[in-house]
Amino acid sequence: MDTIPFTVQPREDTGLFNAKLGIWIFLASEVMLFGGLFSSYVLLRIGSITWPLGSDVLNVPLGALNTIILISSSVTMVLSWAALKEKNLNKFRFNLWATILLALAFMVVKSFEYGAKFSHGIFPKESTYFAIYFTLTGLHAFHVLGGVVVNSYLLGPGTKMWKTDPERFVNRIEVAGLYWHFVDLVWIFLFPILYLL
Amino acid sequence: MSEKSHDIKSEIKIYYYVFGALIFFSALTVGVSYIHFGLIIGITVALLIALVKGSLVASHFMHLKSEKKLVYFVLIMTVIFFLSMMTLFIASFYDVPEGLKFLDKEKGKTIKQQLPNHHEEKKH
Repeated sequence: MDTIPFTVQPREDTGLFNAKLGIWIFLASEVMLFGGLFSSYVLLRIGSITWPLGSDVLNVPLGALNTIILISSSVTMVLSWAALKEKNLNKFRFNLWATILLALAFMVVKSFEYGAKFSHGIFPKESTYFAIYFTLTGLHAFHVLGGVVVNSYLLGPGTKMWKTDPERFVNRIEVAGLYWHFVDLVWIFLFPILYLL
Repeated sequence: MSEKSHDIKSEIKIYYYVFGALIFFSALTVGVSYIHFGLIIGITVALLIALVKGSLVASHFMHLKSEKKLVYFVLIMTVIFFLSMMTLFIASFYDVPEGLKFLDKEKGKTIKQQLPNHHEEKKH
């Protein structure tokens, strides 16, 4: 069963339990993935003759609402981890539920935004701006969905581990949280560059 | 053990403060965007606010304020690689042969006026 060592105890040479080093290296690769697209955004923008003002073509209140939703979900995620530290399983469940529901709310708002664009015949081919807008927000939305899948597993069948190996379970929640906060962090940069500038 | 649970209680308090700060900065960035400073200042202000928000999330929610050395090392390498990549991307803009840019002689002037920071590099 224990094929991966150091799920709870930190390794001597790294000072970290393995999953934590793993998620940070994964997040580093994610920075390069989104970073490549951010760089493309900058290149496309300085190379283009015209560039629309984000607030003229997108719905800023909806984008701001999604910012609030995602920040709130980040808070409930870290609170669910803190609840486990306090050995309060009910509080953990409540907060992780909230995280998942907020993530779904984000997707609903996002789909309204996409739907409004599609119904006006605006697709990625509309302009360079919309091409990079749909690419960046689409990739980000997939990350939100990925977080929902992982968190749902941890809230459902995954919670069994709390009885058998509680410390390892706390670490899993922390690692899932690190990923989730990263998704929030990406949006913190996406929102101003696509909606406001 | 009791000391640990006290720690987490004060941590939770801090999470709520951070939450408040993040909401405040989100409102600020939207509010500031209605003031038209011009593009350069606008981008600088928006990115600065995003950086502050990002570091709040990273240092508190991602526990970076008390993390092991190796994580910082991974992060520093990430920053270096990210900045190198972005530099390469942007540098490629100035590496396009003259004839392949959008500019033609008549249009060139108006484009230069719109994007004043381009014409120095064109001489190379």
